[in-house]
Amino acid sequence: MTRSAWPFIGFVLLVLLFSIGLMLNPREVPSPLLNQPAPSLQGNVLGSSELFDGHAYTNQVWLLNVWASWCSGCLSEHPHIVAAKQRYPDMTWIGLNYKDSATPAQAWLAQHGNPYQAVIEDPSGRLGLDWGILGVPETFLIDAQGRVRAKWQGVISEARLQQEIIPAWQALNAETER
Amino acid sequence: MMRGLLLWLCVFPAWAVVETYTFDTPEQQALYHEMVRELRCVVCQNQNLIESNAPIAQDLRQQLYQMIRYQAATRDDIVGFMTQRYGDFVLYRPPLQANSWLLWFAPVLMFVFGVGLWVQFIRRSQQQGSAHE
Repeated sequence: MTRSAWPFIGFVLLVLLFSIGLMLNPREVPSPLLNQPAPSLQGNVLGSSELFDGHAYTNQVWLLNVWASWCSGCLSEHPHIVAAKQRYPDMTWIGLNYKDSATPAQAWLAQHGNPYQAVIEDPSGRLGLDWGILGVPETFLIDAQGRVRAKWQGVISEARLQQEIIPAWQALNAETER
Repeated sequence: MMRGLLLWLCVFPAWAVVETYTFDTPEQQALYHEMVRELRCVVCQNQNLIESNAPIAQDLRQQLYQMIRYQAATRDDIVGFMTQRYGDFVLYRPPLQANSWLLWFAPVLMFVFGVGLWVQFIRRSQQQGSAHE
């Protein structure tokens, strides 16, 4: 190879590096919680003074869906969650009602359906902070050992549900049964 | 008058954002001011906590204030708390670790590479020079 080819090769390598860099989505920040123990969910059950009992959900696979009645993305993903729950009744969905208040949240669930086994109140967003929430909606998958195994930021589309969330949930269930 | 109003409009967002927190000691205050500049707002990614008026930045500022004033948190406590939740991404100054050594040492590597090229170039031109003589 001639010596004069080297600057050209260097240029091509730089172009490659930059094009890979530009194609990455800077909003996709990996959660540091992945494969770590899930943060606690110490809060009231929606609309009551009763504390949520997280122990009831240890030794099983469950999903945490962070939502709010003021969040339009939550409204667009909600029918998919409701449908998934109907199709897979043993899917455990827990809701985290982020920066919301009980009355509109309960009205929202009454109107749009409630797929959640339990909903926890987080009026100040302090629980959300522990989970590293960037915005609503967000969804986490927690395994039977209580570790966070996956996180989905943003709206759950039907495609995302069918291609990512349900398969991940089924894989964890299979892992647990073994 | 008009110019004054425009100036006021330009300045306004800068101070409208930030709450005033009072601290017990100047050290606490200094730590707070250091951290709000060094931590990134995770939603509006090119702003730090003090520049951002996103609700999450406001929450994080309040969290910082509470940790510094009421829990006597140190710099390390705060960095630990934030990275545990949001990852190294919240830090504008990335820590030196296995996946970031290239980032930290690339300038040194490039410098060494450049010096190497330069030395080679000088040597070659000297050789050519002596061949001509």
